[in-house]
Amino acid sequence: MMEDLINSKLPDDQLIEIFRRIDSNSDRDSCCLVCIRWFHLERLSRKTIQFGRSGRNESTNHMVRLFSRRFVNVENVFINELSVWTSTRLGKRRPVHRRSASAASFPHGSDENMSDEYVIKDYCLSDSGLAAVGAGFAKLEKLSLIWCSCVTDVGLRSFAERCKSLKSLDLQGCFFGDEGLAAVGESCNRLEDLNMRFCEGLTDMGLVQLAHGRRQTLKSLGVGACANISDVSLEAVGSHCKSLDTLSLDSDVINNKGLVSVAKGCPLLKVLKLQCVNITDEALQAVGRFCLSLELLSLHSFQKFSDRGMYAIGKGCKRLKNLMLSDCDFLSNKCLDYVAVGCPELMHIEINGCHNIGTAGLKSIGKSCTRLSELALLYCQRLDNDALSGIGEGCRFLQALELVDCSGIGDDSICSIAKGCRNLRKLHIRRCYDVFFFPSAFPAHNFFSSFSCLYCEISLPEFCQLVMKCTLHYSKFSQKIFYLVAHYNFHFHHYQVGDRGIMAIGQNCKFLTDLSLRFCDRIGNDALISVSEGCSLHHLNVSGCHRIGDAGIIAIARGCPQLSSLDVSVLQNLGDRAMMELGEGCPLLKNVVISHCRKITDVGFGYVVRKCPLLESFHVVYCPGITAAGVTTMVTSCMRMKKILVERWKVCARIERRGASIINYLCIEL
Amino acid sequence: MAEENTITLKSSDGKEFLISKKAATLSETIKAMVEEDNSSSVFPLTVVDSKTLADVITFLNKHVDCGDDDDKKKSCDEEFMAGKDDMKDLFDLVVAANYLDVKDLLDLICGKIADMMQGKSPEWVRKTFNIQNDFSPEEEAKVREEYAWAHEGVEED
Repeated sequence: MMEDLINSKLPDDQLIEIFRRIDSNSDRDSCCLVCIRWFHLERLSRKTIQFGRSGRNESTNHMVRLFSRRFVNVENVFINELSVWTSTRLGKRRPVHRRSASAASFPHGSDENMSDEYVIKDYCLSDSGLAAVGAGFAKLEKLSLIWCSCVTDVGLRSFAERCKSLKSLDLQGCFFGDEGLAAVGESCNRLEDLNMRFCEGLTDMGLVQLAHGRRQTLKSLGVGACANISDVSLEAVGSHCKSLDTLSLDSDVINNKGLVSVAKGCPLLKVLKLQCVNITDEALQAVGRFCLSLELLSLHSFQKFSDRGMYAIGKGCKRLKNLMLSDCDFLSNKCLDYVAVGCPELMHIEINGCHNIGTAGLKSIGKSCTRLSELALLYCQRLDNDALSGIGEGCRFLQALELVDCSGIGDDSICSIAKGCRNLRKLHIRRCYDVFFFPSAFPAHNFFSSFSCLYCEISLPEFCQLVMKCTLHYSKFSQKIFYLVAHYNFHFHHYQVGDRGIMAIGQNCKFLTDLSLRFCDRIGNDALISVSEGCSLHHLNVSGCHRIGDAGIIAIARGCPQLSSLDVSVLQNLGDRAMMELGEGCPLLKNVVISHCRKITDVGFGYVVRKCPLLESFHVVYCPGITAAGVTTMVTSCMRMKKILVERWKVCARIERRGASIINYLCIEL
Repeated sequence: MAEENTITLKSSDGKEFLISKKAATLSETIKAMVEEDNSSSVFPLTVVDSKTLADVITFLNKHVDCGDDDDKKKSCDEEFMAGKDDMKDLFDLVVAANYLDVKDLLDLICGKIADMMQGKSPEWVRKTFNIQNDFSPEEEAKVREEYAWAHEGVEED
């Protein structure tokens, strides 16, 4: 018998280091069963625990007590009870909608449905359960309570009194009031980070007390959809919390006054994220004047401010590195010019759906932002064919470029990028129309989760059928409302980028490792051949580029031996030859999507799954050439597989048992 | 006489290795030794044998060459790990990396060992690492039951 080296050589600390690097819980559980020493050590190695509801009958309280004894070194605890509400009758009263905090109404304290609520209370975290979290996890630093509706101020107070090590608290959809928050401010004297969303019970009183109590330590504050938190709170933060460096606000009630106080009072502010309809240029002018350390600015859905606000930012915030502008329709090209000229350190810019920003704005960026490393342009319809020529000329350190639905941009732009930005590592071009339809009804929570995973795996007629079914069932299942966000790619009009641009990329950008061209119907084999000659790709997605066939993918297989993820879904001309070459040439493949490839059969598919030992996920729905035999080969030969997506009828009973934890079924039946 | 910017490391079995100060001080332990004792140029490492020390030095030299370039580091690490399949060597490296306090090396080797256990049954792990199952059948059944249970409640880690 060979010697047991691992146990004789490694001391406890180092075995724990190894356990910490095992990702999945089931693998960790396996390690517990290996021997008695491992069993004890693995328990010591856990730092994070998430309590969720997964149809069990044990109450969260009970599990908290059990796990706090078992895993003594835990630092992060997440308790998420959202599913309790969405999977019961009460769910209908508990909106999942993120943007309508003011319209939200909660089940707490309602008189109808008393019986349901009574039952649910038995399962949910209670005040004494929360106190047990504080008492049981002695090293707790971060606590998240997501939709834990049965806990009150009493629980939060007893938790706070017991948990002195807490640094970060995240409250979402809970019913705490001011007293609980004030108790946290008094007792948790290391608290640095506080996040609140959908906390209707909280008013300025609680937050003012907390700001006062934690004036020395508080560094980061997030307030989202809390209808009763107003300027008063922010004024308290501004006058007490001098070390605040991060502020994130999503609110309909906060006005300039509050933000101006924070800007004046918190000179260390580095990160500012705003989604507040009432804030205007005046507040941004204060930010520009006082927050000279600002590094990240994110502005979302602004109706009331203009280029004047951005002028102030450009004038004052000389250290700005990240700028995100999303749905700010009153900004024009000028605002980009102000910021580009004023903020020489800008490295990351994202512009999302700002309809008045066009080619001239991007020219300003190209002229002044010489250190730009990432640029993302989403839904910018006013960009011309050569909108990026300025970027190509000026930003030679650009590493990542993402274009989503900027249908005006064409090959001239991509050629400029190729010639000027030789350091490019990542290029994503996507054309898609987002279809949002909601609310829609589904009979089970499971359905929703399986659907969201396969949003682009179904064909158009099926998609339409699904919409109709959802509508029909809506009344029947109205108590179970979910928001289904389905991105579906429709072929409405042509995208400009074609072979010429991508060939230039292949010839010039030797460091490119991540290329995604989705539904770009002017791109064909020549583009991929050129890329395969010039670049060693790690990630490639050519989903829906229907002109690409075997020749392009074979070139990739021969030229990119490092390839680890590949999406070739909806390539109607792709066949077994390409698959076999991939098996030969790309042994490191981990994630593959070949759904809707009608010409691929078991022959090519089997070749890939046998030759690529690292495979972790494989999507193979709507591939008529792949049969139950192919699926069996995959399950039995890929030892590291974590997720397979396939039609249920292709999985035989034996394989179903064996692969139960990794197989996901395509599900469009209601 | 060693040059100003190189030092000598001495393994537990008495072999000496010359290494640049810059590479050697990627190890926090050696860095502390050098700072403490500026005058000497030979540092004995009593818990690291010569075979392991040679490996560690290869790693340190590679990482000094890479500087801050993460992509380079990654390909260096891949090169370094190629062919390192002997369990004994890996465990020795973990102990050495820990003693010398070289975080990147510890990450790399522990990650490699963790990878070996990923997706494997307890039986497979026992067999691969020659570990004796010291649970009694009753104990094992109990733990199994407990964990089937625990796994359901604890979703993410």
